[in-house]
Amino acid sequence: MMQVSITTLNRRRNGSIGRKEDVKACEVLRIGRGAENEIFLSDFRVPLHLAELHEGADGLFIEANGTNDLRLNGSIIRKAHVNAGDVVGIGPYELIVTEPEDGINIAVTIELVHPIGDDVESLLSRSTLTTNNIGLTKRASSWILASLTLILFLALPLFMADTPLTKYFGDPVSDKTANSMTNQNDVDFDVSWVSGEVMNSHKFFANDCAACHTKAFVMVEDAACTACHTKQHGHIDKVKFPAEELTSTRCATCHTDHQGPHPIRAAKQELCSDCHNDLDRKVEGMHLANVSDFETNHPQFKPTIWQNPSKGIQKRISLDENPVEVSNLKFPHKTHMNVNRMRNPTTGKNTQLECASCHVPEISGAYIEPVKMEEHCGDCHLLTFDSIAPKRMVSHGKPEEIYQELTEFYSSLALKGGASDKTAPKVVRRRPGTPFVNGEEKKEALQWADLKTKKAARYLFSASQCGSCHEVIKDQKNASGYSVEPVKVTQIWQPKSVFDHGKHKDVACAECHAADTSMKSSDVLLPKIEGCQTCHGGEQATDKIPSTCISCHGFHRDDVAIMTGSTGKTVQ
Amino acid sequence: MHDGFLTYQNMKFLKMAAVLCVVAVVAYVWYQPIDEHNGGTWLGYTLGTIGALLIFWLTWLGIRKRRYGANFRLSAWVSAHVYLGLSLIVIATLHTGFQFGWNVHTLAYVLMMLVIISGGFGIYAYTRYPTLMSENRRGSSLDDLLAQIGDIDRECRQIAAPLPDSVAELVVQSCEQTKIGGSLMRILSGKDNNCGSTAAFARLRTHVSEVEQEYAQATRKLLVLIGKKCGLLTTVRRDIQLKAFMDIWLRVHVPMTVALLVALLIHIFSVFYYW
Repeated sequence: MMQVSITTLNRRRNGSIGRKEDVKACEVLRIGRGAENEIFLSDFRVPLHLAELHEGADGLFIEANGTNDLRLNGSIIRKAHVNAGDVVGIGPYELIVTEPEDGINIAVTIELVHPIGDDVESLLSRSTLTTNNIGLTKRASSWILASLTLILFLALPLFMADTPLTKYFGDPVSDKTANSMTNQNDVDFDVSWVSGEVMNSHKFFANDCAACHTKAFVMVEDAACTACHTKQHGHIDKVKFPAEELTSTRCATCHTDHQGPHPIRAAKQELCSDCHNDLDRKVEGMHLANVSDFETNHPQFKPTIWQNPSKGIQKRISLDENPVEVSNLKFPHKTHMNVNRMRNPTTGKNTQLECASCHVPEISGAYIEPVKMEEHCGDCHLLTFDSIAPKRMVSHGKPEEIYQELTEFYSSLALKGGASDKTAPKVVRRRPGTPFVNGEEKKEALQWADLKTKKAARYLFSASQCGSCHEVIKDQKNASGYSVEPVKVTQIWQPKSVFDHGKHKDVACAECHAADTSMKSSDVLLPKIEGCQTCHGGEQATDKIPSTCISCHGFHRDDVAIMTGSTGKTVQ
Repeated sequence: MHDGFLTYQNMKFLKMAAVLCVVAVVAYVWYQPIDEHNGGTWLGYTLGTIGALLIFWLTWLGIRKRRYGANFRLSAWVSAHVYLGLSLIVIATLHTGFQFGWNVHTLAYVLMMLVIISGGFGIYAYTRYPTLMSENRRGSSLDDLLAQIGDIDRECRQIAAPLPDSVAELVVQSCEQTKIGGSLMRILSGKDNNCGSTAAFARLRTHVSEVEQEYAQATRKLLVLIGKKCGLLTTVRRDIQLKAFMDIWLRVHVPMTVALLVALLIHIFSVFYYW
């Protein structure tokens, strides 16, 4: 049994050193973290049984257990002799062997020289283990983002832009000039409030929000639209038909903006069919037919047809009733499309006429120009009247004008002389320019002229000439002795709808117009609705072209008062 | 918490959110506006109102669920917050009618989407990362790991004391030029390309065969210790990386939510101001 003195040094924070001496009796001095060890080192970094210190024949001897190792004066060892003054490193501890006092076999001093945390603290001082202190806090960035949003998107638009609010506090000076329909169109702070692209036709004032949004928190009023759209007509007489659907409808109900560059007009057929599908029940004595869908519920076309051009009478007649047009014009389409019948009297050649030979689209392509006699008929229907002047023609005009032309032609010839007509009196055939011998000669010449004029007129106004196309009647009240019934050929058959020939140019004319079998100009060569319905369906059609009411019909009617008119009275 | 909030009450809130979305989509397809789908039709106003109320309510939930001690089930609030929040993607997108532009209205939408996306990451982080963190640390605490690293440093220093300078300077490099984390990006990367310990380990490994015989054993010991330290550092860096990911999304989620609330109120104000 040996006596061991164990002195534990405890370095305090203030620099002083605590000393605790313990004397134990044991066979072997055990070192480790376990409580049974004589040198009990509580630091967890020390193994339970680290080493043992013996007293042998040749002095003190230290030996590490297992795979542990020790540091003797800085060198790594497993076992070694130790003498007084040696320093043994045991984990974070230092064990110093000292000279034992009397009665003591071994004396050691033990000190924790590397308390836990030293190296850790130095590591931590260089490290950042959380993101909490990096950059802005959540609160700070919240404030910044919220403030920025508030300033950029509320304060600036509300207080700095030319909005109804600023107008409310003080009307800004208008820079509206006589040449401009609008105020300024500069980009303003309220550009961030724009909900979508303005239609192209409004872009010249698109940045002036207050141009339309005249009152804060009030939907755009019609007055804002009619301020510019002064000539837009209404749909019906609001006084006569104060239908709730129409009186409560705003311009913007159908014409919304901020939906992209192309103008929006509501095309849904229910907007029309809501009223028009049972108009007969809504309005007593209603002359308009019910309609709700082009394919399933639309009346037969009722073109406006001339019934009596002389008295100016037109009538809408359904195509189902096989209407007959009275135009006072005789024209067989079939004959004109027969190449054998079409011989040009000048060239003697036969020509195959086509529709476009006479029917030329007007410049927009939508409608067809009226047929003109001089341009389209005159090449063959020559208005010649006398073989002595085979190329001389009268104008295509009124009978009295034609008669006047004839009178002037023959009188001039009679007065000048030199006529080639063998049947003419001598005086008319005299050498041209020779003066009359006396008044009798002059009278004779003019009598001849009058005779020839009447003859030519008889020829021209006969059934084979003017009468081949026109209704010519004998009329003694007219200087010529004839009058021609006025010709009225319908230009717009269906004035309440729009038909664009240009959009249908790839369809052969004969698909819709049965001209090649028509022998009478009274035939109405319009296609029935069934013809259109082979391609066009109603709004919901999936196997045809979906066509809504406004594909053909307009809402605004020129015969109704303009939208601004509060009375809604019809202008006519 | 873990994934308890996802399956809370047999996914009651998921079902509610799904029904809401389906109804919204069906209404959108069924309803044919006079002109175009947009926020100004009656369906647009309806969806907008639902969306705005959801946003206000969800924000309030976000605050509410952080107040402990009140009489409510945490997983219920989180579950509602998550599923109804996700349903906003459908509700708000249909409200826009797919019309977007450089304006405060789309700003509100974008902020909302950022809030939802960051929240989505939060869901992932809260369901996945706690497990990954446990697996990574293998039962130790972060403090344990740091203490072990400190211990290795100390031990290395002690071992290196009598060794040649060429070895000792590597130990100093390992001990004094190693740091954990640093900048936000470095924490989130989970790596440190300038790690003193990794560099020291690499140099020591080539140097170990060159030292004199008497120092060879100590040098090999150092190599083992620094190698172990590098392993511990990897674990610690991964740990704070995962922890950072669990925190970082809130730094987007919360400020974006605040900005969204402001933008949303401005959106509502401005569309009616310019009605």
